[in-house]
Amino acid sequence: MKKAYLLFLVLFLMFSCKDDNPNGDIKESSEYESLVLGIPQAQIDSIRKSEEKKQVVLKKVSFKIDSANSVDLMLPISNYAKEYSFSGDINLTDPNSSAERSEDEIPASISIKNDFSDGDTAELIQIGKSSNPDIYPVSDIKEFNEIEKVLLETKNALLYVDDFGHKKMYYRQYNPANSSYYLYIADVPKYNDQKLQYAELFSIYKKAQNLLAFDKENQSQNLTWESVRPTLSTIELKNYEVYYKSLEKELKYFMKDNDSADIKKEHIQLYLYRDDDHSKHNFDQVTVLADSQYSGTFETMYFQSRLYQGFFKGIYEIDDPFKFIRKISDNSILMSATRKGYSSDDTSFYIISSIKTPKGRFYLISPTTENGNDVTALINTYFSKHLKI
Amino acid sequence: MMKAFFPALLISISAISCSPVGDTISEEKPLDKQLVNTTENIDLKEGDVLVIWGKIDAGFLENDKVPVFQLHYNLSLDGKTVENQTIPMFSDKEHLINSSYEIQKEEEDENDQSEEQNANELTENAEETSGSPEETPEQIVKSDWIFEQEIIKIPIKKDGKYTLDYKAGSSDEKAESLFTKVSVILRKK
Repeated sequence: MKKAYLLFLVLFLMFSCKDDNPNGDIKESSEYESLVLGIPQAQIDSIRKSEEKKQVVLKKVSFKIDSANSVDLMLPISNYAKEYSFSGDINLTDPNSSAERSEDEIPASISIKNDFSDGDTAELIQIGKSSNPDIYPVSDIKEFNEIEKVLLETKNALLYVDDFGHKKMYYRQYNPANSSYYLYIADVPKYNDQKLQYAELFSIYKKAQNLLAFDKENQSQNLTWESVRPTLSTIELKNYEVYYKSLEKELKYFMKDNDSADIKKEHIQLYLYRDDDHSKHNFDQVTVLADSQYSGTFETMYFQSRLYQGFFKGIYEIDDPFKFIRKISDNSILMSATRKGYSSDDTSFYIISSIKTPKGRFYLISPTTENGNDVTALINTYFSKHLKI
Repeated sequence: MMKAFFPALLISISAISCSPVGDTISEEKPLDKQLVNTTENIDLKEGDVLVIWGKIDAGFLENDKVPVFQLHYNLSLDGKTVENQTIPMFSDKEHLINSSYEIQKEEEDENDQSEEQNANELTENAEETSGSPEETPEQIVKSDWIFEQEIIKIPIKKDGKYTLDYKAGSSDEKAESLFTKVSVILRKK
């Protein structure tokens, strides 16, 4: 019982101490600050510097806002724009004000995603028309949101930690040529690792700064995994590493006979399979399809193959067109497959890579872009060429 | 109150440390069905026995039919495979631990037998139970069942930091259910 009293006493003292101090004092203390930040300021600064130093590889994306209007954006090669009809997690106006915005004031929302984004809300771009170049200023954001700690503030940018420990970014741009404003609003997912959260925050900041950098478009013909790799965000790199490491282990430890492995997410699919027949006869369908400049259907392929049975069966009819487009590397080819429709045909593109190992002949298939140069295709090309087991 | 607390703590600490199932090396790790799952840096000594446990958390089971999984695993030391096997998981109902079982109450039961079923409802948290809960023939009984089961014991012959890679597959449709979660727990004896 004595111990219990002691405990009460200690607790009482702790609480009374807190009461003695006005709230502001605690907030200013460095202890409180480091609690809000999660990791030391010096570490945050060095993460910021290393993200700033990263090169960017941008592509131009035209996005249809509605039937009449589309908007051009510059995004990192690994990113996608997706329609999204809600507003972001940062208040642009007074949340307590009842003044309603008129219809034409409501901006269009676009969600920015990568191969591993969970949900659509982490990164949003709001685009709208206004004659006021200073619309939605940073000072408004500071006034209308719960900000625990400002990490970076400029005339057009605000990076901060909110009262729930979320890292958020607001970045505004105005283009007088078309009287449009572009607001980049980000709420970094709460990864377990604080360092990852900051890396993602500063990576998004850089992305936002380049959103209208139309002079920075890269010539996509010469892209390789080696050149794109250093430009990706830390979280993307980590995730790609998990996926390809898993494929390597499948191949090394688990796949026999005609086994297959399928990693399939919203924007990325990696289908790896072993072809027993091709393993036994040292046959390589990638070389054969390329050498013959194959153009036919899945049915008219003149060699034994598990391509259709294994991968394409669920998507295409056996008499749908299947065509060789070009060689990407010695082991990788770009193919097109077309689904016959009543009104129009629907053509998609696939990269097929051949991997010969002491464990047999494997093929890796992924959907890709028309040019076969999205990040998945770049990594598949690299992976199939360099894999050592 | 406090006096009673400390002995209780002591008892529970000693109970955990001389647990018949061994020490837990890696906590419950949900299996990603699309990926090879990996536990690295498993510190093992010669004479240790690495025990792979499977845990299933299944809802809406029909007549307690738990889907059978195939566990493929590869144990390696310094990049060299020590053991590589494929073994069934949950193929029998022997030696379950941490089992929690509940028959689902049907909101509208046409046969008027709901009361009887509800009476059967039980929740266990036993150290070792054997055999499945009683089956009711010729009638589909839906249940939720969580349990852990020993999958395999691997005797260790050499000191080192081991890597275990594993994946699980199943040909049973039920395995694909959103209400079926499988995880792996590693223990050491």
